[in-house]
Amino acid sequence: MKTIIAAALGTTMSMTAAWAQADFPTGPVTIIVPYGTGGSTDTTARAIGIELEQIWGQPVVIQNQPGAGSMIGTTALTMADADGHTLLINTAAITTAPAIQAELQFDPIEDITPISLLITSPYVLVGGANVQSTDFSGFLEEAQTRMMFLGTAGPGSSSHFMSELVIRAANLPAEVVHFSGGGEAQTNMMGGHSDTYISTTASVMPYVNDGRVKALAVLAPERFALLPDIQSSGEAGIEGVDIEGWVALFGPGGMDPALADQINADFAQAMATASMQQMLVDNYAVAGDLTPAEFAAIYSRDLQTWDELADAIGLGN
Amino acid sequence: MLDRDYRDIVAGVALALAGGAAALYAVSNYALGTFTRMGPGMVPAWLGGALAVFGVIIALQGMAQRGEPVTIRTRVLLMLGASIVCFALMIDRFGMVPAVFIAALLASCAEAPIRPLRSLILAGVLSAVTWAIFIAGLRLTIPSFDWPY
Amino acid sequence: MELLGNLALGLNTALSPSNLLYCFLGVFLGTFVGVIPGIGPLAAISMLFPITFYLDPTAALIMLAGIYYGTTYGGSTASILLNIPGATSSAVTCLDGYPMAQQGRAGVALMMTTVASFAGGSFGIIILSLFSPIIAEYALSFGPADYFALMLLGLVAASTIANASPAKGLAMVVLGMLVASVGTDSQSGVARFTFGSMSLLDGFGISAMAMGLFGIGEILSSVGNARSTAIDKSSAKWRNMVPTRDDVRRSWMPGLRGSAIGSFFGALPGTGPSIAAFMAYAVEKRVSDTPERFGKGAIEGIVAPETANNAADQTAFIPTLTLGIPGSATMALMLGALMVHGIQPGPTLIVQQPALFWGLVMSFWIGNIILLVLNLPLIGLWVRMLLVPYQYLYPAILVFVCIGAYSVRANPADVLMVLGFGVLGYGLRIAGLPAAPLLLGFVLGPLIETQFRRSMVLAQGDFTTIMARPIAGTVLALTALLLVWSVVSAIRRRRRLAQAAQGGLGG
Repeated sequence: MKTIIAAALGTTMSMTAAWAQADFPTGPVTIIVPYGTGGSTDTTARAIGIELEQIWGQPVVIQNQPGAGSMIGTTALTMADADGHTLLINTAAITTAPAIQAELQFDPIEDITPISLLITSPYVLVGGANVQSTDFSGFLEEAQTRMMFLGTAGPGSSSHFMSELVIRAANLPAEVVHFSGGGEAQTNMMGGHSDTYISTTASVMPYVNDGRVKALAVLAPERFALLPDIQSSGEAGIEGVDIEGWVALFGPGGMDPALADQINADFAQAMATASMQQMLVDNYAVAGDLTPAEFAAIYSRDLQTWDELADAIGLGN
Repeated sequence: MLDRDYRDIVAGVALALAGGAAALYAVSNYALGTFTRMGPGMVPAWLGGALAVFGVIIALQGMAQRGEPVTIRTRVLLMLGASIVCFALMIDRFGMVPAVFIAALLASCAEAPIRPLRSLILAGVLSAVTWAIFIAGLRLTIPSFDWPY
Repeated sequence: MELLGNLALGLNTALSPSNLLYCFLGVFLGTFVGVIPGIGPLAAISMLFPITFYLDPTAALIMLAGIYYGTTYGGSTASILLNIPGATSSAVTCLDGYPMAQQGRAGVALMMTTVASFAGGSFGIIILSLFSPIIAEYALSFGPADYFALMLLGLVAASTIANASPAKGLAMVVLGMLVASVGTDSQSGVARFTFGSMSLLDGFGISAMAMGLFGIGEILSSVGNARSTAIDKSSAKWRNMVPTRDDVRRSWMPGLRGSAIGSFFGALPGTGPSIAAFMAYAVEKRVSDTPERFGKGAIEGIVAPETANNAADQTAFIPTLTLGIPGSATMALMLGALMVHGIQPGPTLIVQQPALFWGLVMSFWIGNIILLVLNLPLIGLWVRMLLVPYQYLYPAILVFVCIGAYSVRANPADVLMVLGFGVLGYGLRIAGLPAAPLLLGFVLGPLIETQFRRSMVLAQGDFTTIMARPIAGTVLALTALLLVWSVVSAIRRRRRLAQAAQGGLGG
């Protein structure tokens, strides 16, 4: 049954949704955003929420519960009923935070149902004022000649983990330096105090387009269709760094698979609207088209990757 | 007038103990790191040590000067504390209006004489006013009323 | 001439009836929210943020910005009248504002802070319209080492803001820094002093700290106390609200210095109105011939921080709009309001969206004028609030503080933190320890620690590399000079006092 729905998803999405709407939702749906108001995850969730109100005919309440690297809001989700009326939109932080936080009050596999990969985009390595090279091959050579400082958005952030992956994969004599958030990491790079920063397209491309920073590499085996001019890490012969950044939808643990499929389809419909498509184009990102089961595989794989990396570099508690 | 400034002595000793405890806890639980990459324990250890030193100085100064007795009004502390704790416990379970009502009721009983009717009216008015400002006006996403059971 | 054209374009945008309405709504709401203790600009803007999806970006930003700087106008009101900061950046205003109110000069204090807010805001707007791109470039050249040096200078300069013995003042600064170290360590990710609590992973919020320490602390020590009824009805009369010629004469230079200090700290991403207010106060106390008047109702002590925090409010838009990088959580919200509409702030914003940029700048002027006109007549009303019996007032304040603390993260634990800080604040009052240096240590501590550790990584453990940086080296040298000068002048003052005592009554 699950595979049939998955196969039908692309073409008969609206049909699936029609079948689904008989019993869900029966009331307002709360989407927890584990970040503050006005951030990129929050604005994305709100935009999707506006579309979903049209689809569901029920109010969609965005509830901001920031804190502890998204874990406060995520914990709140795990305590809700798995009836689909409480959902969570989170970034890859949901896989990085458990790797470093000892005080987690839930099991990231048992207590969370991955439902839908909403938005995905590759990580981009950008260089600041002090980096001379203009592509990844050049950067790898330059990094052997002098000490490079790879700026991160903080210890345990995805930019930190990705930077460590790059240092290991390319065997660079570089150091990471932690800033408080992506904004600070980028200003310090622009000012030449640190050398690079790694983040998703949406957060770095505006500055690349301004000419303030240089896009050195897309961390993927091949070039990214929306940014064909940027060298990929695979081309430069570096492997093992091809992890994607994403924004995704989760429910409490033990959700009925049929319900998860149905919510997955409803969100896909919301993502297909013109306004959401425009938002994706603006952010150099693509909508995910995975079934809950397929996404769950990626979710648990990422959890494990970060857990092992955190152990290897001696991070966290 | 007391022959010693016990206020400063107690405060100084308390600060010294707090600083010492923080420094000890930091040193025994967190890595100190190296000078290049300092660990999480380095700065708290130094700060705790500095606080202990300042605490001792304050206490010593208190030994050398005269002081005044102090009074602590426990009833106010307990009633206002209870009021805030009730708010914190109730807001997620029962919603904003009951939480405000109980918190205001308890708070108004902190000061003698207690006038029950006046307190009830005040709690009612405050519930209405906060509802109007935060839920009707600012559209805060807190339920007005809730019942968890 | 280009500037004039831009200003005309901006004025044209800002004066459109709908934008004018949103500007008015924003500043009105801001003042209102600012007066209520517990609800800061961040909470207020978060609550209204969803509206921006349905407004055009210029109108949305004009309104949100209005709330932001409007809050700072209103923030000083509760500081002066109740000794409770309405917003964190107004905490310093308590130091001299509340004594003024107790002396029956609440009206004067409110009038001076309103005028000072307007002057500071205007100064900030001038800097914003003339020098935005240059300042943004300059701000980029500030690296971790430079921030460290600057914050250290700030700490040394401001460590004497309270009227207490040096040991007590310093102990409180250190305690503040220690309290600030609670939470996830910014450089290692290790949770410090959290004892298994998830709500503590982000540390204590500054508003929880300020509300508890000052707000709840004040209530705890006032309730049940024999209250001085110094506020008689006559202080609510217009005649008693007009500042004396002496007040005005004393306020000129603090206002100018406060504006300059505020503009500087506002424009640096990573510092903001609260630090600006602290610094402005510290500088005034340092340069004053009569530092002993501070803390007892000195007019300079309210004018300097109020010009500084309002100037900082305006210049905080420089990094946000010209670099696309928010210096604070509130600025991140402003940025979010633009991004919702697909507008990416950055160096090209001024060129590509001139109507938005200049419209916003001109709306700041209009907003500040509205605030001036709005606040002056309200002074009489606010002063009359003091005539409300305290037994009705304090439960209301308490409830507002609770809701404010809760609303920031929808986390009841934050309410309990406010209580914890309230008990601490009460304890400090009983013990005769000053709370303001604690807040200072709390604000500056994490910056100093984080930036120092960061700069040591970048310098590869070589401190001389830090000294060799032009900004950091100069500032560190200044800090050393200030330390020496403080010690020397303290010794001199003690000697002078001793001589005076001998020459006078002989002890």
